[in-house]
Amino acid sequence: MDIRRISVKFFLADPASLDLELVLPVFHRWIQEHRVEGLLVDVADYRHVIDGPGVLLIGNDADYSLDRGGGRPGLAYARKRAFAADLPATLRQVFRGALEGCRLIESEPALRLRFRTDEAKITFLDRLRAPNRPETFERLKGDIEAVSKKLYPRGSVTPWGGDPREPLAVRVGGVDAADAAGMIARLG
Amino acid sequence: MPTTWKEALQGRMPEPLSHEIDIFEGQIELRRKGKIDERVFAETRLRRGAYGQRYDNGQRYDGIRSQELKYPSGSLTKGPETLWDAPGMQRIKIPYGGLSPEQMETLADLAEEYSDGILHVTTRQDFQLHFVHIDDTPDLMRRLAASGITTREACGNSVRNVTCCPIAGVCRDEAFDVSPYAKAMAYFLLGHPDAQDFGRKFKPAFSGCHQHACGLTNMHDIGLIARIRAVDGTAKRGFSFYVGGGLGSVPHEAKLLDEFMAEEEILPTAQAIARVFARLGEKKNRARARIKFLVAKLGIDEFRRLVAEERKVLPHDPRWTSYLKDIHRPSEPPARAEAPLDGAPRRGTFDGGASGVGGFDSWSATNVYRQRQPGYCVATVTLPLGDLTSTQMRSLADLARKHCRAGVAPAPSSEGKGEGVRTTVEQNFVLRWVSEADLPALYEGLKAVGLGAPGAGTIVDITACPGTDTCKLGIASSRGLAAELRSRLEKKSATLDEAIKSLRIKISGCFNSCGQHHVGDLGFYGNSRTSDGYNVPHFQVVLGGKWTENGGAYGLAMGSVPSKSIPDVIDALTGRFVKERQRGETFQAWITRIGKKEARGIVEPYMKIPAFKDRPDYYTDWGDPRAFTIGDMGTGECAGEVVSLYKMEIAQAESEAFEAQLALESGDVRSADERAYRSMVFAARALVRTQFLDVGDDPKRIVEEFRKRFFDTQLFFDRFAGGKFAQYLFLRHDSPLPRLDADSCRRLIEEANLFIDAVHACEARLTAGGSAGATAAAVGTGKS
Repeated sequence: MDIRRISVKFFLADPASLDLELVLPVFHRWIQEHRVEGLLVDVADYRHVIDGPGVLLIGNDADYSLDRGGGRPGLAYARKRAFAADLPATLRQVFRGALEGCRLIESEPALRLRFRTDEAKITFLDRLRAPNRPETFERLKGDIEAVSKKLYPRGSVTPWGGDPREPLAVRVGGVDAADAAGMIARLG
Repeated sequence: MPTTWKEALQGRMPEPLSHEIDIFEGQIELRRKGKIDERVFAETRLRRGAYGQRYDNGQRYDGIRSQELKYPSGSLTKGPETLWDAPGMQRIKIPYGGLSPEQMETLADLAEEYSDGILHVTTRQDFQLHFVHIDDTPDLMRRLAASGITTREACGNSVRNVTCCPIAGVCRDEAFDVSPYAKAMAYFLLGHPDAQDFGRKFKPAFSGCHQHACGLTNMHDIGLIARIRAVDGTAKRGFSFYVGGGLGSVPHEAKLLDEFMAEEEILPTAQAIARVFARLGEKKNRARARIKFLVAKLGIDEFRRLVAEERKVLPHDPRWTSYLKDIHRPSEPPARAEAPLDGAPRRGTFDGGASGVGGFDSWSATNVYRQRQPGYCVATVTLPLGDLTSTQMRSLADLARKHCRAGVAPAPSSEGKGEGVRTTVEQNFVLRWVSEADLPALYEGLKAVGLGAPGAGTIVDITACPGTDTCKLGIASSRGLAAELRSRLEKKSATLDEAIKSLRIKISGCFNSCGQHHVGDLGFYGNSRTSDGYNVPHFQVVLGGKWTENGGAYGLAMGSVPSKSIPDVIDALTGRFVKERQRGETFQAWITRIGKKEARGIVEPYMKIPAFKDRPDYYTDWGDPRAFTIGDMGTGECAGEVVSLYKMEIAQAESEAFEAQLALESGDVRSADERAYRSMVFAARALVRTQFLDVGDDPKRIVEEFRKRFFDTQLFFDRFAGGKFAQYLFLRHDSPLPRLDADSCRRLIEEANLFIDAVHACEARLTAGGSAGATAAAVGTGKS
């Protein structure tokens, strides 16, 4: 069964470095310049919401956000449609989108942001096809590992934990991370 | 394991709802195949609450150029000029704002899975989810249905959400709890055959008292205020029943239909009104199709007679009164026994430290209301701009379970012991039946999830509609302005004079009043003006509105100010108010005392637009770095002269409209009427003279030329409003007001101001795109 919405988030190395006001013009410029793949629609500003999605770049297939969810700022890439053929391919697609977003954000001089790539959070925003239960994690673990081994050859895949009413989330990571561009290269 | 939500929720959805959603899903499929007309499908989805959203026509101004948004679905539409794949808004009706924790959790899930993780509370106690794909709506609706929520008739020409005072049942001043009546009306009118043939929407509201704002009955299509009257020595429940109120572009105050209507009569009377409205209400001209226009046209006496006649012939319906037997049924006990706050552990959170800002005491001072039931309180959860995340919503559900009355489906009850959580028209939540002793713990819980902000019902608790963020009709960024004002005011809230703290700011992104700007102390609605060949975002300043007495009086426009100058206008107005106010005088009373002319004098210095080279920031909107208009709008010297003449002429029109307000204020309705009409003629002349300098001063000739050159050619037409505003001029020109009274003059002045705004917009389009390309120019302004 195809999971309909998946997000991957990489966290900022220095959470205090995020100034969302500076992100707004960057995302608007990305639309002007078609800086990322896919149709971009608009920018949504949620700076006023504590621990919220921050500033979102809304696309047709995927959204990018400089997100403050969980009190840990980072870049989240949420794929909504136009998925690859199977879950491992989809996960590669979503990781690639997230890492490409990180790489581009890091290249924006005004933002001065750096991401730590040694940990990522995968969220399965589809309670029908991926209910937040231990058995779902066990079912998906193999597919997740197929991708995470490429990114973190010596890494691990563990449930994120927390409120079971939240969507199923998984932690992947390892000490053998590279920078964003290096991680994209590892995805092949 | 089920593979679809339909399968997963089988047996958990009420059968009629499940069936309706299946039909809707079928209609989606038929539209995909081109077997349903796009207009029919548009009305179908609107009646399910699935709305369009900004840029859904596939065009978006990116600050440099208008980009075409090439969606995968190509030219497939879900309505006229509304592309299939374009994100939409889903409105979710919450009758009287009542929610259970389980429903809150469902809403949280849906925002995460189908939207952007944000739940937005509207000014009519609904929720809106944005950036929703039409293909996702059937499953979204099924999941709502399984938790007892329908989106049916959340939009479209139907009976919208029935709103209600959020503290009904626990209020210290109410006559009685109106919640069960609001609930009964909501479900009685939902899908009722007599309420399916309206020309426009129809909004009911309930209030438990006359004096407070909570129900805002004065601005609703029907508004009911609880009353108790002694009948044969027995206290009898009933309602003062109002009809024909409404904001929108031309606000009307509701008229009293019946000073005391027995409780048994409210549903049949609502049904009779629906029949009269469906039969006699305007159907072709949407601008005149709300019931307020019908009531104004017929007069309240004739309208009352027609409703009474209709009532006599209605076939009996047991639902009119069947709910009343449940009214006195005892409801569930609160989650916690009542207990006073004194002696409860304070956990070190009672003050905000050295600044005195923040902390429990500040929060408690503004966000806690003592219920009439001793030992219990209502806590307001302030939401910035009406937004909260899914995670916050789940935490709120937990806090409601822990501290509020058990959240079961709302049971009608004389004591108002309905569910513990309600949304409010000020875009907040209230948690009811909180034991006083639990307040510190509740505060801690709210603070932990970023929901512990104080300031409920104060100047920082700003109401704003979605505006240009997501609304197709937005002209200026109401949310951007609200966020900016909130941020500035919060910083100085500790030092603000008490008289200022209690003011309310209400902001709409356009004249349609979704932000309820007419009833705020400081109201603003978005428009635009041109300067240096660019469009500049503006807000019309509206003063004199009354929030209390159910939105008891509407403010009037004082002048349009560049968006970036609004914070200064607020400082100027509030500064003068603090300096000059008399003991106990409200802001509204002060505005009335000093008069519109003096008030305009305070606003006027801020109406000037600085040159682009000096303040380029004035040419962008709050929270949106894009240029508000295209940057390559060079105008020739000759055109520049014409624009210059235009500006002089339009200034004369604006001045005349303001004089009309002054005349109305002084009670000279004849002069007010004449001046309002003249202001429209001046504005029309300003536009005509951009093409035909020698039009002269004869109103007949001016209107003829305006009609020929701008109306018949559709150059004046707005993308969404069409020629609506020109009709204001034509109507008054062709037939003077049938009744010269303050109400009709007030409306005419509003219409004159809107006509002038539309002239501004038309001139801007023509200047931007050349007179042959009005449609293209409309895109170029960024007002897609």
